[in-house]
Amino acid sequence: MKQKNRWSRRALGLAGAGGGLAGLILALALAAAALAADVLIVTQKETYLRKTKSLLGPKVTKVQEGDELVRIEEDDTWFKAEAKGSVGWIPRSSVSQDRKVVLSGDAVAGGVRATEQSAGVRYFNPEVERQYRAGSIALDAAYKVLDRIETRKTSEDAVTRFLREGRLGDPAAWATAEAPKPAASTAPVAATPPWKR
Amino acid sequence: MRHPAIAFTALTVLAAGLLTLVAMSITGCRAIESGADALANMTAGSAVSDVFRGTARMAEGMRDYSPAEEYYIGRAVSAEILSRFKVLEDPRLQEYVDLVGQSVALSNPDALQPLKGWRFTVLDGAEVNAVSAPGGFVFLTLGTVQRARTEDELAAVLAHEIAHVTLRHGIKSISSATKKKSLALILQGAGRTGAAVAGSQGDADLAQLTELTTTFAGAVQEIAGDLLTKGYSRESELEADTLGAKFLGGTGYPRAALTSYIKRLGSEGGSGGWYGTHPKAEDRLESLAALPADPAQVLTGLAVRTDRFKKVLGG
Repeated sequence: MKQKNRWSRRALGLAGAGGGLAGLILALALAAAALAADVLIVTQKETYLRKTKSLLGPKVTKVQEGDELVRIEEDDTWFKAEAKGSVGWIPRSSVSQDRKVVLSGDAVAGGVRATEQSAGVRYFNPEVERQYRAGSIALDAAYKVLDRIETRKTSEDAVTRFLREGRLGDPAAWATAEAPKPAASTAPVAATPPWKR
Repeated sequence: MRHPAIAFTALTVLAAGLLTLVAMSITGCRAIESGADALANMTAGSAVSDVFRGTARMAEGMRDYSPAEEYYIGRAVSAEILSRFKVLEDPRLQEYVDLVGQSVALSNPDALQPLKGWRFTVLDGAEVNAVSAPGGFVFLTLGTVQRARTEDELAAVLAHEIAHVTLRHGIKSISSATKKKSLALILQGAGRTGAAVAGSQGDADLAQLTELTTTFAGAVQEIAGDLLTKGYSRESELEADTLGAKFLGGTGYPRAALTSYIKRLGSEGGSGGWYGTHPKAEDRLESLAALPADPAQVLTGLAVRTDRFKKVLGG
């Protein structure tokens, strides 16, 4: 009886250890899957986590292409995520849930995390583009025009003013802007467009 | 009695784990579909309401193209457009049109967020034409701007183009044209970055890179030609109208501005450009008629908007 109990205890111990090990492996697998599912990769060159669900909302922190964010919550359009210890909202199409997402040549050259796919970027990358445009003087000239277009940058502040002036966007922003109304001025009206005043 | 209990517990934990993993994968898919469902609900009852449910499936199928890839493809298509049209030398108008476009793009978080943001550019030319390339590049002729009577109508044209890019209509054309050949090249290892090309397989890689470039060169020229002469399918245009109208409403512009612009172009008549690349005005108006009426407040600010539009256009 004593011997039987000893074997029983030993078997019980082994079974317990086996079950514990299986449980541990499972827990680790689940934890890894959960961590992978909670990582978002930024796919815009430069953008921001915002305090509110608005592309023009107050900025919390800047994030760049290739940065990893931790997902906190989500809805149909937005993710709430954490980066560098700050939490804010980012639109779904600014990030990828695929850790192997192809990044731009600029990002890879800049030393951001190189994904598995970014080592063999398909389709048009800077290398292919260089070859492509070198084949035609007219095309190369068109690319130069495009490069100039890309240097144009309209600031968020200008867009916000433009929206407010035209009674567009969030009506709450109109009221905020109107609160500190300046006293009537006798100065001549400048010839600048109304949204730039 | 405790041994079966331990085994049962271990099995329960395993089963629960597997169920959790399955549930997680389903949740991931559902998150993408639910956004599209919201758009579908907005247009429920219209002839194109299924469009936005289709967007979820399309998004799934478009995972091979990251914003970075779309950007380089878009640059190639844009360069083709710019080799045929001159950019209008009018910084004030360029700035104004860009502000209208950015206003629409940044007021709608459902719109695509391209790698380097949106670019709206006016091209010289009296004909009516507006085209967009993947990666957020939108081009419209001076004639297109001049046909608009108000800023709201100009915004309607830009919202329609933003919708095309968001729905990845250009990418769809490019994929169908090049996928087969380029995929074969990619499987051989073409298109690697410079570091890889400089390796021991340098010559072979360079030859493959050249072949890949040649494949895309032909395809992009065809696609740019299609954009400017043939246009997207009738179905894609109606999809872009519906989503564009949603973007207009999301910015605070009246959706009716899209209807009034299409009506005017339809009544004026013409050939080539916009007339050759878009469905008949009656078809588009019938499709848009299913959209809900504009709320009253959209007319607030109409005078200011029309005034600044006329100042820039010199009217």
